[in-house]
Formats: sequence, C-alpha cells, structure tokens
Amino acid sequence: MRNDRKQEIIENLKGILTEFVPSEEEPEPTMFWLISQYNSRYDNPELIGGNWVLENTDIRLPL
Amino acid sequence: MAKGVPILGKDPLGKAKYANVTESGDLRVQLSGTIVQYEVAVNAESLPAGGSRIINWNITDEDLILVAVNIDKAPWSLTSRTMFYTQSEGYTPAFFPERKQVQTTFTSIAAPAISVFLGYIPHEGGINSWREAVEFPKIYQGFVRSANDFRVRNYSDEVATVTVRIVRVWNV
Repeated sequence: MRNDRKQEIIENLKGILTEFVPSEEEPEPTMFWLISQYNSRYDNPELIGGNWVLENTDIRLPL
Repeated sequence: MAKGVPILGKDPLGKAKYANVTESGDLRVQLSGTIVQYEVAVNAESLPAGGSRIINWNITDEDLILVAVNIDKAPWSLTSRTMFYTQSEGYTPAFFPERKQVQTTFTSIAAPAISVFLGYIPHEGGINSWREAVEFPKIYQGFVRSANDFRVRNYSDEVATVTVRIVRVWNV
C-alpha cells in the first residue's frame, strides 16, 4: 500500500472516531464499530480491518 | 501425624471418625470448578460480498464451546464441519441456535449472536432449547484434526464487518 493511501485511511479512521456519539447500546467506540463505520462510508478495496488498525495506527479500542 | 486440628466427620451409623484424611493425617480434598478461555478469533475484519471467513480452532477436550458473532450485514451464516460431514461450507446444524441465512445483523459488541457448538449432528428431532444444547453430549475429541475449522459467510452484496469470539469451557 502506498504511503499516501495509508495516510488517507488513517485520517478517515480518526475522523470517524471524532464523530462518535455515545449511546446506551454503544457507550464507547469499539474496533468493530470503527471498521463498520469505515465500511459504510468509504470504499475498502484493501479490506482493512481491526488488525490493520492495530498494526498501522496508534488507535487502540476494545475488541 | 501432621500438626493441625483433626477434622471429624460421621460414618453412615453416626459414629465419629476422621474425615478424608491420609494415614499421615493430611486432609484429602478434591477441587472442582470451571475453566473458561476466551479468545478473539476474528477482529473486526472486512469480509467482501459473498465471501466467507474460515476460522481454524484447535479443539481439544472442551466440555462446551460457544461462538459469538458480530456482523453488520445480512444475510449471513455460521457453518462447521462435523465428524460425519467434512465440508464446513453450507452446513449449519452443528450450531444451536442454527445460523442459516440469518436476516438480522448483530452490531453491538456487547450483544453478539451466540451459538453452542454441538460437535456433531443432533438426533432426530434436533435441539430445541439452550438447555438441551448445553446438556447435549459433546464429542469434540472425535474431530479430525485436518477438518478443524468453521466459517462465517457474508451473503449480502456489500462488504461486511465481522468479529468472532470463541469461549471454551472445561468442567474440572
């Protein structure tokens, strides 16, 4: 993966995180929630998932 | 005799006697309980439309195995090999509740779709309750090592997000 694409994905992920609104069902963001939101908003041809986030970013969320 | 206070019990006639002690006076005890092992087998992976995720699980001598699935697209299925059926694709009765072409999503990580792995095909009439599923005799050890996997399939036409957790229980 090219570095500019990687940075684009990371910025998109962090942008999603800033928009998180706690709810009764989802009181805090989880890795599942983050990737689910990413898949619903962006094309994901690389099929990035939770392990990619752990390996390539400093984002740490409950699994 | 070892130091300490002897523990007295009663025999069937009500006569006092030392209870469960060795010849040297040590107390015999047997511990029992439950060992539970929890693992995240699939961590929020993106599963393409129509794709399936095969999960290897090193089954040993567990007394009970639960599989918890979170998925944000439907329909989806949970299938497994059994000792009598060696294809993990498309075979759903190895789990209770059966997860066959499920039309609902499970997006809260706190409320996944939980199923009991039955290990082999239930008798005629099947399994109809959680109690039956938990009490159903498991013969996990009968699995062929090379057939030791299960899978989640995304039947939707979109990329699905999938998390799968496995809970293994041993009664000791």
